Amino acid sequence: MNIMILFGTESGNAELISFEIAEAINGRYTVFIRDMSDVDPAELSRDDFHLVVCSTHGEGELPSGAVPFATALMDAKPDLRGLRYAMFGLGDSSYDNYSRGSDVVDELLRAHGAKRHGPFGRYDASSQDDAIQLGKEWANEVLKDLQGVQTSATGKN
Amino acid sequence: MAEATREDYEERSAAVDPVGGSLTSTLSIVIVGAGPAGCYAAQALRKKLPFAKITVVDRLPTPFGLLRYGVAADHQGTKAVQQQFERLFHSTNVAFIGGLELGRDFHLDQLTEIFDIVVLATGTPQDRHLGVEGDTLEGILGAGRLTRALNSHPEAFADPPVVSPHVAIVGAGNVAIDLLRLLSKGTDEWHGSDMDDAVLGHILPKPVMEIHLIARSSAVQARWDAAMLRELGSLQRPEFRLLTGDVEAGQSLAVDALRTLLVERDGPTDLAINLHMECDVERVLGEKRVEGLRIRSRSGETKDIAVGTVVTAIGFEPQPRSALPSRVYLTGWLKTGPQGTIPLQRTLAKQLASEITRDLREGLIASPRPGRSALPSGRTTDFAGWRRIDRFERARAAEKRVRRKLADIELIHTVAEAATGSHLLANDYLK
Ligand SMILES: Cc1cc2nc3c(=O)[nH]c(=O)nc-3n(C[C@H](O)[C@H](O)[C@H](O)COP(=O)(O)OP(=O)(O)OC[C@H]3O[C@@H](n4cnc5c(N)ncnc54)[C@H](O)[C@@H]3O)c2cc1C
Ligand SMILES: Cc1cc2nc3c(=O)[nH]c(=O)nc-3n(C[C@H](O)[C@H](O)[C@H](O)COP(=O)(O)O)c2cc1C
Repeated sequence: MNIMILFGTESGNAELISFEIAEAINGRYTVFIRDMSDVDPAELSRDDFHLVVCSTHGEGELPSGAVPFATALMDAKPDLRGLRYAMFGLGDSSYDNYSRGSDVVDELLRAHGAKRHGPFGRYDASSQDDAIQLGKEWANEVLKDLQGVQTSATGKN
Repeated sequence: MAEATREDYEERSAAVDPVGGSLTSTLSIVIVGAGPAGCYAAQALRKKLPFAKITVVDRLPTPFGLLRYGVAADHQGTKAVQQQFERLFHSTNVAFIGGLELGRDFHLDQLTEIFDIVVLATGTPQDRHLGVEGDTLEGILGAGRLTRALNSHPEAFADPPVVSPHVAIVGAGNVAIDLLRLLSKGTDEWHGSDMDDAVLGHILPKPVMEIHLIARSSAVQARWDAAMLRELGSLQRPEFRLLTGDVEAGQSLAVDALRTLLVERDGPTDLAINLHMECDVERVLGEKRVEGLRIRSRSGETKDIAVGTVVTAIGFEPQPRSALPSRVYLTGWLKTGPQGTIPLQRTLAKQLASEITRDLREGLIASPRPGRSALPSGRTTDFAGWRRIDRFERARAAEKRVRRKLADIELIHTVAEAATGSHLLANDYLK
């Protein structure tokens, strides 16, 4: 299983976190990173596990980098059954719609049949948390859960 | 080793080095101005040309431009992009040099001799003038100057402005709202910010009692964000009043937010914020110092308001443009004029990197030139120096603050140079 990290960003923070996560888990997995603005959701592979990292902008809207991806989901309505992902949202709780962008992507993915695994991670820019640290911890937790699922699945065979 | 792996994913994940390694491995790029535009440009260029040697210089010993010296002290979330730039300067092939000024320490034609590619990202720091009678009186303050002072900019440190308890802010953009909020905050409303209380005390020896916001535009047309207005609603002190203009005509999120603000609050208030929408400033009143402002509404009525300080938040002067020599590129506010957010600088940077790669591919740029090593020397800082400044500033933060900036340029250099024994310094300056 390969890891595909997808980031949706406006000002680059989601991209930074994605690269830091990649560095942290590289070696344990083969890791790929793609900007969501260059990704057609219909082409995502069932063989990969996806770590989706997405921010929020405007009035609780998607960052511009996630817009083409969301539009493709809404317009082309691809069948994403069997696709696995985990979600990490970036936001700022001093805004009204905290982290809404990541919720929107999550809802769209699920609406098309993809399945979310592990905890939903979030980073609040107006907290004093370390975004990179949070991102790495989230990824580790997601992947730990996932291993659990995989071993118990193989255990049954 | 971390570097190599990072380039691995980039190579796996996207096409890199579209020009061919032989040219880009000797390519030298200088970016003048380490604000958001310059830093994002370095980031985008590094991604497209991972082997090029990129040098970002700034006239100040500290990087980040308006991210550090413009974005409000209580908007630390906005400043979080700084972390990206720190990772960038930490990576191989990208260097920061602080304390070198274009026009003072070197000229553009020298840069084009030394570097293959020159990117100018020096911004537009000059406040726009009101352009009415009396607009040079003592007590008129440009928003740029005031926000630099509030943010402990080294040049404001020498001569900090003082704001009177009765103040007018002219303008209706996000900078005007930033200032309205910053001037209205009570002493216990700065948690989590990097506001320096000593600096604030200097600028505001007495708390502000009355603010007049004067805006030419109507409530719907004003270029402020609804989120900025909503944030005003959580301030403890002020009561808002609309003296001219209306919030019934037109529909927008900002107007909704404004309407909410205007609801009378219970309990005593000690700060009146008067909004004069759709008003022009006719002249500034006073002999030597500002004593008031004469404003005129759309219907032609004039009114005099008594204030001791006038803050102009009506934008910045665009830089005059001359023809650019080849291999010289512009980005940021210098290129677009003084408007556009920080995220926009990232978009501009990607466009710039594509343009430069295209010019490289078309053979318009030949390499090599000597690069970084041929820059003039002087009292400069590097990224390691910035890290020391950063650590020092965080370590001496007051309670409930995240940082206390150094504003004295001598001290900034001293801390930057203190490779070892900075704990000694800390003892001297922590208080
Ligand atoms: C008060 C204020 C608050 C703002 N708040 C926000 C906000 O909350 N959110 C947001 O998205 N945007 C905000 N903006 C807009 C944002 O700051 C700009 O989009 C951005 O800073 C433009 O980047 P720049 O790099 O072109 O300019 P600058 O940030 O001005 O950077 C220019 C850099 O060049 C250096 N320089 C200048 N002249 C020379 C020279 N001769 N030689 C060498 N170096 C030189 C300067 O020292 C500076 O570091 C704000 C702007 C202002 C004025
Ligand atoms: C103009 C603007 C609007 C924003 N709006 C929201 C919002 O509505 N909700 C939220 O949770 N965060 C909001 N944010 C905060 C961003 O999501 C946060 O800064 C994040 O770190 C940005 O990540 P990015 O660089 O990957 O785009 C906003 C930020 C900006 C600059």
